[in-house]
Amino acid sequence: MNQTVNGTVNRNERDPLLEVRDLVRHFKVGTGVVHAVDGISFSIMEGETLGLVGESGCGKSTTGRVLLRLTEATSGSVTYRGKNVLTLGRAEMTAMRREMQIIFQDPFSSIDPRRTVGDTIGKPLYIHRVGTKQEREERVDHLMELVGLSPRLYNKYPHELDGGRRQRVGIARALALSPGFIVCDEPVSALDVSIQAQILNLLEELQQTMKLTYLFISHDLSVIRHLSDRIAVMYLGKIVELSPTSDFFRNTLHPYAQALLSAVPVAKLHRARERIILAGGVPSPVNPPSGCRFHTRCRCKMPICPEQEPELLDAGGGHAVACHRIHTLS
Amino acid sequence: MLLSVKDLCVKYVTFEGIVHAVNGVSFDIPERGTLGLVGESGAGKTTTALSLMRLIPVPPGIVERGKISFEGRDLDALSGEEMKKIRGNRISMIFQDPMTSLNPVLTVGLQIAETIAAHQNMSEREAMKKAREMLEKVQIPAARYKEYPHEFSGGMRQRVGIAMALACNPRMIIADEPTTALDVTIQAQVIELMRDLRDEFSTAMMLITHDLGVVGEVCDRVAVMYAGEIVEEGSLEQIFEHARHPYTNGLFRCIPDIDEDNSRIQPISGLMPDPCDLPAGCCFHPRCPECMEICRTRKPAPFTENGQMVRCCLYTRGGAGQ
Repeated sequence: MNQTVNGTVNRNERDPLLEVRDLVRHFKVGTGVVHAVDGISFSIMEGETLGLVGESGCGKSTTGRVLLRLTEATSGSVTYRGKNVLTLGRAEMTAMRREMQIIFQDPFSSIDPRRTVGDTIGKPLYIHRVGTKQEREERVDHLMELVGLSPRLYNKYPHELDGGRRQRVGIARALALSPGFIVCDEPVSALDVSIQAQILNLLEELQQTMKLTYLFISHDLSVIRHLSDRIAVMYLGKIVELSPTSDFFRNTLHPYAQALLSAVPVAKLHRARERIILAGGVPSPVNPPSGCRFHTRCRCKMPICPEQEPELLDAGGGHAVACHRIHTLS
Repeated sequence: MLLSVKDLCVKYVTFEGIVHAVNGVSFDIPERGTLGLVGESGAGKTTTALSLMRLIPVPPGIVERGKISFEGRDLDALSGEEMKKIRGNRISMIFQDPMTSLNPVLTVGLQIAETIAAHQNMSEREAMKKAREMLEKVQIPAARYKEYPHEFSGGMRQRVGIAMALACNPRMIIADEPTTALDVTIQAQVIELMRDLRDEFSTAMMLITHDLGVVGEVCDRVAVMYAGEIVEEGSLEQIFEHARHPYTNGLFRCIPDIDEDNSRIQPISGLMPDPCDLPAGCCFHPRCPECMEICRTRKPAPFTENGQMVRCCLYTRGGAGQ
């Protein structure tokens, strides 16, 4: 499991580890169909962190869950190292789960309250029949050390731990089977800022030492900028902008992404910026607006916008945007 | 001074022990002033706010000591009936979660009118009319007066909460994490609305939050709380650009910089102390990167310079603050 060579990781930037094509997830509800994820495509390179950002209900968590088949896709494909995850049989999928893991937002509800810390972390090893009982226990000890949990917590229950430590348990559990890919679904949103910083640093360290690839879901743009190599912005089930992180922050193209970025309160004085306040709330995903889904709140709306849906197109340098004004955006 | 709090101490008696929630908090808020009360979970921010409104549940809570004066009157000396006339009328509160703070079985119009009728000498009709006006003030069409809270989005519910808080034209508003449950674009709308209305009604405000960004948008003074104490207080500029307390500096270093690629973050090591068993000496010393021998035993006295107060032995060591 120690794949580190002199503390450095050889990132193969060319091979996508994970490729998502036209992924759709609809939910039937009493009043119609919720278009939670509505045809998104992206790929994640080996060793990369893709940040997925958006507001509540934009479909970012559903995306993460569909990738791991915690909820089944309506259509589309998810290819992991050349295999379509969505069509795997039961046994193959079980094997695949060793490779793909998830860390959840709320460490209070994602850990079984009746299981001890050691049990929780060792459960994936038990399910996948890894090693003997003693080997599994040794592995759990090692994992606990890796995520900074003191060995004396082995027999403690989750209610005896604070939020930060619980999140470390969730991380250790996700790492137990040495996965290659981890979906981090708002892993620090429920934590206080001083603990949040501890967990962010831990996730970065682990990525280096264990050669992990992350899909990092968050609503916090400063956290996303800190961690991600590339960033995808979602709005009402669609990706509206997908770009290398530094490029995105230097030159934000989509009017929604611009508004989102300008709305973040920043703990600094004298920071020059234009504040864009969007009118109204996010429309219902049951009947999303026609054409471009953002046209109802967009300050750059043109006659074509309600008529035709813009495609996600490259505006140069791998910076893609789904907007009819792509040629005039700067 | 509109509001003056001196040496407030609040504890809760529980089966696990005595929780020392607020330990000697003092601050002032002038007319039209906005104070941001910042800190992490368990720092005692909400307990401070609730004790101003005399809303601490007794038992388990005990307000041990402290003097709160508001508009020149000593609030502790007031009877329950007299306090009712102040609560919701002269001082009102905006809560974090508008879904649980609104009554789900009453229309929003009725809930606002109820507040007005309780405090102002008005007929029911007049109160209803005023409630409609308040809805328009928070940019909700008055026609939605007869709708129930579940028919509104999160941002709109919080606006209803703001309308209710402002309905009696209070002198002071206590806003307890008013935008924490909201998405960032909706938060921006609500912050702008709160700022505009605060100026229009010339209301003083105490804003409780864990988000230093929100403080920067709204407040003119900032008090940083840790383990039930205000460890530093000063103007927005003093706290944001010349913070003195190692905890305040640590908080700023924990936030990734949104304006830079590969920004560094430096966590504060360790955890918040157990409020049942606070450390001796300075309560921050077990986590402090600049901890000295004296910090383990001596509680730092407040040291004030140019209106910036800090409780840290780094500043009182030379006897400067004593």
